[in-house]
Amino acid sequence: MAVLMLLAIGAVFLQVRQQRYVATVVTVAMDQRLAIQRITDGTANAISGDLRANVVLRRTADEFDWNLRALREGGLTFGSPGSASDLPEASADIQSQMDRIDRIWQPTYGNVTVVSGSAPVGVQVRELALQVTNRFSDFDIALENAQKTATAVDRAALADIGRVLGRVRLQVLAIAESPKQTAPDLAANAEHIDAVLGALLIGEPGPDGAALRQELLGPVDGFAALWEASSEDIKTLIPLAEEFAEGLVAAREIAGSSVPLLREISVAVDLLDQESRDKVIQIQWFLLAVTGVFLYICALAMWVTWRTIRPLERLTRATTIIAEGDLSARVEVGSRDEIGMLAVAFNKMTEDLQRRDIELAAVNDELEAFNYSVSHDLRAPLRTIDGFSQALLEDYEDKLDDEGKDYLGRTRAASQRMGVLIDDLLNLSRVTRGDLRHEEVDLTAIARKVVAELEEGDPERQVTFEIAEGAVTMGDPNLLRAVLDNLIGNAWKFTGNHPTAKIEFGITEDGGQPAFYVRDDGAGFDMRYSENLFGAFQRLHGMTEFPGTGIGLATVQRIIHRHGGRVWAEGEVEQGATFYFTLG
Amino acid sequence: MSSDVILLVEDNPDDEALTIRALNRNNITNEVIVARDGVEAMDYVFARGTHSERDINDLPRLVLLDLKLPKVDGLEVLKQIRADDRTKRLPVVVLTSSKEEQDLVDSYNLGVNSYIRKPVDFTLFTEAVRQVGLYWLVLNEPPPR
Repeated sequence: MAVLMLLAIGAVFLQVRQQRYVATVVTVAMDQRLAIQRITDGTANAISGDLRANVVLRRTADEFDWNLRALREGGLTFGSPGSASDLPEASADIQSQMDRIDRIWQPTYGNVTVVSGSAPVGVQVRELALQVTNRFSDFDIALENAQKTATAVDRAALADIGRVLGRVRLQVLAIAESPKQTAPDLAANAEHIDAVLGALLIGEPGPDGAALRQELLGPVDGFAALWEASSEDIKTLIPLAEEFAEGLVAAREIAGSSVPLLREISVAVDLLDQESRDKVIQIQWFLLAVTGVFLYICALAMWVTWRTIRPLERLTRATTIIAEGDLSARVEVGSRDEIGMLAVAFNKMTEDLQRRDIELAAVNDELEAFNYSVSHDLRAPLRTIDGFSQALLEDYEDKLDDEGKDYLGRTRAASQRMGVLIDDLLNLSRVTRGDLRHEEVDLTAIARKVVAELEEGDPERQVTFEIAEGAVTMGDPNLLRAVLDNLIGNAWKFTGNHPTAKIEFGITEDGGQPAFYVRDDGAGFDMRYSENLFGAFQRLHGMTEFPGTGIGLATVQRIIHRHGGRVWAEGEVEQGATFYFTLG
Repeated sequence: MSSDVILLVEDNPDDEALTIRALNRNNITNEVIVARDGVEAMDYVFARGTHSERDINDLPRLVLLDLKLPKVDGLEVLKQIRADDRTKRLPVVVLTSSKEEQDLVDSYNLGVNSYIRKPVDFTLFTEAVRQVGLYWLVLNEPPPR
């Protein structure tokens, strides 16, 4: 069962992972469709010599390539959970579609690289042309300066240079666009300027002689210096422009072959998109099915639980009723499973309990009758013995000697003592009968009352009492009164042979719960016999020493046990005794 | 017409003798009629059976009633006495060995006038009888006839 659960959880986890992945594929596929559109447009623009389109084209192609690789191998930056190869089951179709796209893409990507490869040359051509044309205003000033001092012949030459220079300017600007047509003319014009300028500088002597030539030489030299640099630039520009033109021709050819490929990729990406969406829907159905099965299992589990819980509830209810004392309660047995068997066993147990309860009640009744007999019938003959002994003593006094009177005295004492014993025995049995009350009892107040009564009974005694405050507990007030009566009464009795005494009622702790104690500094007892202390009619002291029947501590023990507590004693001969008790 | 008879309901002849002795020793000289079971006690009180010759209006001055009796027990006797209009005010003192709480409760519920537990010690018993006699025969005003 646990293994099945683990497998199910594993399958759901895998499906969720796949769904996330395929959802990513859908998102990326949408991007890729746009990218293909941009690449198609960008290629068209690039082969028309649009340098900006060229740069964008390259970037778009790089992005497309990166996304494609990321989808296939994993590592998409926006948190893709894995790659197609990690999830073979989910993406068999998707993967084959991507493989197909990749197969078409690789040559296309190469083409795009070639197409965008002409861009750097184009940029260089543009910059060079701009550098050359920027100097033309300087050319104009230099030529004007030369004209001012030129002879008629020189003037004609300078004008020629100015004219050709105008054409050169236009041709430099145009060379980037149409290097083939422009390059030869530009080269020829540049050479022409070189030739005219050279002739001008070497020159034939004019009609005015060398003096005029000297004047002209300065400004023409200035122009020549400017032109020299531009001439060099133009010489560099011409082959570059030709190279750019050749690149564009190649790009056009390649772009032409890319168009069908791009169209094919576009279709493949559409298919990928469609298949991914199908896959997402498929996975969603799967998850829906799994959720359905899960809910069904939950409902089943709840039903089984309910079926199990209901009899248990009935069992609990019956137990509560029985615990409250009604032993006639039974559980309805509804099933033949373990719980049904438990119910049968429970009913059997309750029947046994009920039978035993009836038996116990009978025994208890007998005990009551016995107690009554003891109380009534045993006392009557005792009274007869005592009464007629007394009658003998009174009526036949003159016929009895001292010994005879002593014997009759002993007979009377014994019968009276037996009367007391019977009374004590009845009191002890009464302690274990009847209902136990459970209410708040102020032991401090009870101890004070007991002490007051003792002091009243024998005001001569010198006894110091120490009674702890706040000894409040739960229990039966009458029975707890009997406990303190006995314990404090004993303390009072067993300190009787000392001129002064101290009796203490206090609270301590035993195993985390409050324990009460009564301590005296009286006759004490030998710890070796401490086990005998609580037995009925057990006495550790001689009758003549301290009176009593030995029933008090047995009564105390019974009361404490009925409260679910514990009673124990510590003592030493002539060093006093301490009696501790707890109450459940 | 009133008599000063004490009706002693007691099945134990020893107790009977001791009670009479205690009464005598305390100089209580009233006539003592002894009934040895519940039926006899009721026959006397209601003047029937062996006592049918008796005048029912001539009620005893005091009934000393033991509870544990042959035939009909003391509580039943008390119940009958209290149930009859002619005898319901008759002073009845339970004199018994029992100290059972149930007996005390039942006796008082049935309207007993007093409940004395017989001590084993005869000295104390004599004293108890003296006090009962003194109280019910001398100090206490009997109900009107």
